[in-house]
Amino acid sequence: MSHPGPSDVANVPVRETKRLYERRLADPDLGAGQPVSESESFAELDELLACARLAEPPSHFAAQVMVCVARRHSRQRTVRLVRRVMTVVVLLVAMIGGTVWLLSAVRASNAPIVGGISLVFEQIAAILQTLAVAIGVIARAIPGRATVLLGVWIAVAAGVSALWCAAVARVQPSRVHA
Amino acid sequence: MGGIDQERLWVLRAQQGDQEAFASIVNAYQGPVYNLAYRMLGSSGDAEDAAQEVFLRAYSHMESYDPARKFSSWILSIASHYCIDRLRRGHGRQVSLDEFEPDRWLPDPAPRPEQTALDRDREEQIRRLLATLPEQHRLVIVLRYWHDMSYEEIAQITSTTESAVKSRLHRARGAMADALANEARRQPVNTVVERTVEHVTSRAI
Repeated sequence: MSHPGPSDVANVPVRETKRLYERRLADPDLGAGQPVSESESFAELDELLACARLAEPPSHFAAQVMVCVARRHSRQRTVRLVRRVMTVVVLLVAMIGGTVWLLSAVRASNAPIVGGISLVFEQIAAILQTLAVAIGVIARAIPGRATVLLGVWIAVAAGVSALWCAAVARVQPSRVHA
Repeated sequence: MGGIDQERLWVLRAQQGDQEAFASIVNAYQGPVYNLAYRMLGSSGDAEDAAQEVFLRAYSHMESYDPARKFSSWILSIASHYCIDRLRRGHGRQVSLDEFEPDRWLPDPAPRPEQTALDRDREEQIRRLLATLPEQHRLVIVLRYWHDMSYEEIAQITSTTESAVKSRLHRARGAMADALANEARRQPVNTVVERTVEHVTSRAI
């Protein structure tokens, strides 16, 4: 007996199909009407799921994720930088604005403290001027060659410090904060 | 160096901001995370988006990972919660058979056409059965059957108790078994006709 091919099945009339279907439901040899216990149905389900395989992502998936990670890292760094700059600006504005407002308020009130504060600033300015004069006297007092040597030593020290900072910065990986 | 030690090293370096170490983690866990997302959301496109978002969240919150906990549990926990949130927000969608990509599955070492067709039918059937379940039940089934997780691990991932996990698993299996039995009773008519014609003809001979 040859197995009916797809064309044979497709050509079966609808009424005949329905009759055959009803016969299948009624015929116990075809497995109809058999009560199935819970354990049997679970076993059938387990058998089906045991054949299930793991779905695999596309080949480019990992690379795609890392591109997004790099983008997010860059965005987070920009946000942190902007946040820090804004914080500094706000603090400066608050400090300067507050100071100006306070001074103008005190000056308007013509309180004796205004004279006292002015005197303090004058004293500070005098001290700084004296300091500058002293440094100039010391610098002129040092012989010419020693000044040059001193300058070279300071330059070398600054260069070594800069190189050390650059080396340390290169060794430490970029930090990420959530 | 053992696999777990290697993983711990990657995690430690990733927590310090090493993107190469995080790339190793992505390579190691892209399969399980993608599979969970696919089984939960039912669509390869949604699964890809969801899996990508899971890894981004893991990257952003690496510092909050507790080394006392298994990393697989932690990252699958992120994936589970994200997929459930997404389903509840209604972003999961029905997938048509046209989107089904049999090439996406792990390759069979000796593929045959009839085996490929059987595999495709089976996978589609599994997808339909999973779609009948509520999100929480679907999740425990996926974690149990695809990821071989213990009740304790599943409870940790789903933030619930072991008894709740067992209860959900039992109800999910019951629902899927019922749906499977209903599908068997409603087999396509042409398949029924084939079997019936063969049976009747063989009895007549």
